[in-house]
Amino acid sequence: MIEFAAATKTYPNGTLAVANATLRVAAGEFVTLLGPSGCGKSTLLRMAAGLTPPTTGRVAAPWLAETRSKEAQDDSATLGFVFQEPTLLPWANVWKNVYLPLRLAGVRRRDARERVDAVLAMVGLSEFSRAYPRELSGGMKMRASVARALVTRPQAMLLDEPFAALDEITRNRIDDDLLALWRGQRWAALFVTHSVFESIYLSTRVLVMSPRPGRIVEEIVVDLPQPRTPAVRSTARFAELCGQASAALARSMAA
Amino acid sequence: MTNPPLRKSLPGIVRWTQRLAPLLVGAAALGAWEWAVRHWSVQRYVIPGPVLIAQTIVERWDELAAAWVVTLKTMALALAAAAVGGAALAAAFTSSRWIEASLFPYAIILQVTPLVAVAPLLAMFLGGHFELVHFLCAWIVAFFPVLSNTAVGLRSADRAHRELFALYGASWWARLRLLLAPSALPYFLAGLRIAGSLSLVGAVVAEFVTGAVGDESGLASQILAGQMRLDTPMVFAALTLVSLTGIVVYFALGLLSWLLLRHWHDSAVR
Repeated sequence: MIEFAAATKTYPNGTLAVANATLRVAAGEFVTLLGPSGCGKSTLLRMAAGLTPPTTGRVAAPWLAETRSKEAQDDSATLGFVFQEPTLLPWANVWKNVYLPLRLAGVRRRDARERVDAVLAMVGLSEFSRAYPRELSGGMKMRASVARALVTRPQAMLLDEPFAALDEITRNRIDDDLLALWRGQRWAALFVTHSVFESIYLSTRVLVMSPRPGRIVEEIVVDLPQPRTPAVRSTARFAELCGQASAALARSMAA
Repeated sequence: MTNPPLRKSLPGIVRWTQRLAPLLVGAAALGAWEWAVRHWSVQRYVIPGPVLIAQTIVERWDELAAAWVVTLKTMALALAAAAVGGAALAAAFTSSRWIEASLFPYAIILQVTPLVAVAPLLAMFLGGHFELVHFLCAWIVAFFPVLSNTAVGLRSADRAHRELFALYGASWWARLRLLLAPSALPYFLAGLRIAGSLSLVGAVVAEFVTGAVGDESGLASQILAGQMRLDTPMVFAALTLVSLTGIVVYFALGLLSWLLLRHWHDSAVR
């Protein structure tokens, strides 16, 4: 689905943000990039989305123009992107915000109604479709943002520390809902976070990154059973994996 | 630090008095004016009292209304053209740095050259087309605040929002209509509010410069004619209507701004 082959990103000011990244995300996988702030996680995600090209190396994904074959140039080659901030348009209500990707794809309001309503129900915002973003709590804004990413029925979801600004209780709840959506729809997920617990709880695989320059230093396969419930958080295996990830993170910082 | 809570805790009656205060001041000033004019028996061609001015407005309403319509028309057309032209040119600026770089200096020149200095030239070139001269003068001064404000507004769209639109492959037009234009709306409306007052100034100045008479004479022409004839009550009557127009336009544009922004923009949400 997503493939990085020795991708490097150097910014015009000479900063090496991502060095020699090679990774693969297969369909239906939930992969997390775990690392401290400023380690190039976001840059990696932005390269995957096509928002910024790699300086050297190659990034391939169905939605990237360079690697997209002619016959694949249809609706199926879509991705959903969830930013760090909710990035809702303040002048539009929740319904119109979620409708936006379809509108940009040329889907008329009438034809989009069912899909928008369905995705709003999935994230639990049906009653708030007429509300404006400023009237929502932080968690609800993020839910709306997730709904907007899901409305195009993407093959892959890229999430850039989406819930970092939320309190822990709200974040755990949204994480559970996100997992439920992933189980139901099975998009490939590339999730960026600096929280060890969140990365282990959500993922099938965790890639630990080191800072300056950002490189992928370790891989942890998460063999916790599916579907995951909050009870998983109190199992010994969960604690063990978190310990492994924390140690890997510490090693990457020391290196 | 303690001021805001204190203000909020003011009882209703005090707040109302606060709102009425400007009206009371105005009424008191008018009363004093009327009293002074009568007390010292000031000649009507020197300074007429408020009562006489009101009388003049009523008695010579036909003359004044005709002039008022002329000025209003100039102003409304100029404001509309400034709003459309300013916004359109600002949108053109966002589509190409080249357009912006090549045209913006001229917009500035147009703005910094005093209107009173340009108006006679326009009057010379355009001869008897007084209406056109009036329109152009009012438009020139009203145009710039809309243009510069909208240009800033269009550039102030959130970076993450721009990326969102890029991600979904939005066309130039979709980006302008769904992202840049709404982002620029508060700026545009602030510019329009300034333009409203300026278009009135422009219309009045233009009438003074051309000294148009007859069918094309607006309120400023009435002021000019009144001055020549020592018809001071008429000067004050026309002046009153000019001020009134300015006030109404200012508040009307404020209301428009509130109506359009009340759901989402901090400037309009209480």
